[in-house]
Amino acid sequence: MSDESGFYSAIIGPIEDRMIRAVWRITRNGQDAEDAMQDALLAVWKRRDRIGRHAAPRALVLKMCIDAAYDVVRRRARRRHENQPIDGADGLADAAMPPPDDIARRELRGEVLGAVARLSRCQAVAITLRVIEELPYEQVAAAMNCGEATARKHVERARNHLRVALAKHEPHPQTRSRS
Amino acid sequence: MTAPNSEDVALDNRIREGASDALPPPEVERHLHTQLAAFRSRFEGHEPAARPRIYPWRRLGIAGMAAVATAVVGLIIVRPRAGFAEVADAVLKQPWVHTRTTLGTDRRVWEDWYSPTKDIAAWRAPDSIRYEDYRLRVFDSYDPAEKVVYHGPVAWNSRGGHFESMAGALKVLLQDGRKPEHLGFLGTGGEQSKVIEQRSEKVTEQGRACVDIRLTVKGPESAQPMTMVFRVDAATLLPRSCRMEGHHDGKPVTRETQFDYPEKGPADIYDLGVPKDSKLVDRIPSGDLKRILETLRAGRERMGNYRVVFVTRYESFDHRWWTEWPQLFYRKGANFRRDFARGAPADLATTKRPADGEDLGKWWTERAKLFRFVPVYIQRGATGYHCKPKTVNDPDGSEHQEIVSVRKTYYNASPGEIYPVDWSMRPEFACRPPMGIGTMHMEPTLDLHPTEGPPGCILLSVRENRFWLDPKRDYIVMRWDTVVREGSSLKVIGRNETEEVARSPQGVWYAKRIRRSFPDRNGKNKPAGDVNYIYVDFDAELPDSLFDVPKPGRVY
Repeated sequence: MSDESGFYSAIIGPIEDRMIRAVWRITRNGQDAEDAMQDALLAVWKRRDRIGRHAAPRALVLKMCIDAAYDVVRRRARRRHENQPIDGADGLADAAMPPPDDIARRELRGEVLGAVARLSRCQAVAITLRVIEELPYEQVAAAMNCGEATARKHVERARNHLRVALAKHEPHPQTRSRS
Repeated sequence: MTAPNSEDVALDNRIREGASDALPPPEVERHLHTQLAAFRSRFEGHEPAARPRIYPWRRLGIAGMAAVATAVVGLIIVRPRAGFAEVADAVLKQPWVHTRTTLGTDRRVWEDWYSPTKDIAAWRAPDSIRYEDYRLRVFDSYDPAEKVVYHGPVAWNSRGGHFESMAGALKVLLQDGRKPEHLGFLGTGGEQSKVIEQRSEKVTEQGRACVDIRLTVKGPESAQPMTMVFRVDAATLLPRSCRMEGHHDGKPVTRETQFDYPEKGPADIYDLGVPKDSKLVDRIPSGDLKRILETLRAGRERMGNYRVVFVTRYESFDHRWWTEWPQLFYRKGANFRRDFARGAPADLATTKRPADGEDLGKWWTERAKLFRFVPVYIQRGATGYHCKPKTVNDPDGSEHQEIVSVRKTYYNASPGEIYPVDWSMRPEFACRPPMGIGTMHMEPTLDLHPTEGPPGCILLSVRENRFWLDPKRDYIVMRWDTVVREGSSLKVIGRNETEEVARSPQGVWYAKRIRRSFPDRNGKNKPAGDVNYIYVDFDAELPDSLFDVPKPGRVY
């Protein structure tokens, strides 16, 4: 049991908050975040032996969180269509959601996260680990179980897509209505 | 290897900026930390029982009685009108309805019992056994992994609601005889479900004449339709089986339910196979705890009608709080409404800070008049309506606000136990939060002489939550800590403090200011938090139309 306890304190403990942020950044919804976290923790539990032997265990756990969050979001997106509630207006998330204080920033956030969500899975995970989580390519590659050159290629392609996607939808800082 | 060019750097910065405010709302963060704490406990060898995840398909299996209602609806569509009421009567008069449902490729089995006349429900699932008596309003629940029977209060409505809604649907359908346009009485999601095809045929099963009714139903959350085949005994008018085929999470799922109608059902949870020597844990509140909970409930219910202007001030950065967008909250009896500001005054950025000592309640009430609001949530009794607003650009360059969709939710909680989804921002609920007492794994402990906390308060601990209650103010919560285990000690990850209170004209204590703090929110020992200001007007005019069921369309 002590080994397993050590597993948590050595690998999971230091990145708890990063896991929460990684899941929330993608889901932006309380229920989805909980579902994604539960899926991710279940995956971690099942593969804890492999994670313990992995070259970049924390990066791998973060990737599992990102994968789980994308899975939940894409599953929900397929189902919800127009029935999706407003951002955060669901259950406890609704109760706690503070009003945004910066509209332009909120729009940028929506654009960036939406554009990342439309990337292929490999590109989305690679750009998230590399740019948002700021992991070195070596760890990105290890987490994605691919070579460093492949990880770089995923990031490069993701950047190309995002450059186009974000250029098309420049934010309008003067906008006064919340949408 | 090449160095990143300036375009890449600029793009990366934009991506980081867009993703930088990745902290979830405090309540969500609490839940996620709680999940992690439970996960850590698993590694440390004292795993608490996990909260069961109920998937829609499994929920269908557990709530097998809904299928009875569905089966009857199937009959409504294809049989002469005079026969439909007979079917409803036939089911409702049975002493017991028993269903056996198999689900999934591994053919897991759920068994349900429901007695319409006794108002008792029970089920046996692979990972739980449960017995609920709605007349006594108690449940018994057995967790095979723990080998413990939990005895607790029922805080939700009877499963008989399925039958009541079925009867209501029958009445409507019998009156106009039309094909049902939606199946709202099937439960969550049924409201938006539509019958896209229906047909019937006569069949014989074991020598008995039956009718098969085949429905193709499109649910709101599924891209692919679901097929339901109901088999009903032509002589007794009782459903015999139900087979459903559809998709869940992109995978094909099949669910089969067989019905029978025994004279006798289970007398208690032990009749369902629970070992009689199992440990019994009583979660029914008694003594001081019961009195406290009843007082808190009375406070929630007796709060008068109001209009609230709600504002948040953030504490972790320099915040021009007077330029914040207020929200409005309304209550009239059991009806609630929440409005978001969607149009701001033109001088928002140059608004002058209120003078020191100015009455901020009056200031914000006047300030709110300059905004334009759109309803985002309306609750009427046990039914909530979530609105999705949208800004629409007009050809002349102006904008208007529309509600593009409304999502209906039914809360199956008993009267007095229903919390609006925005409870943490309301004056009467914010200081009387849901505590989870009575549920299986939420053991409450009461400390009448705590060594810390607000003076004069008593401490109620419920698993990861610590509530300090003020006996002199009808036990409202003056401080609420959420903790996680860290080694042998407990670490506070979230704290709500009720800093200012007042009494309503009805004498009910309520919160006017609540401080929320997160001692280690970002993992770097940097505290963060905010303060919620709740300005209550008990004299505001509240026409009933404020709480009308919202409909898609233009707001202003």
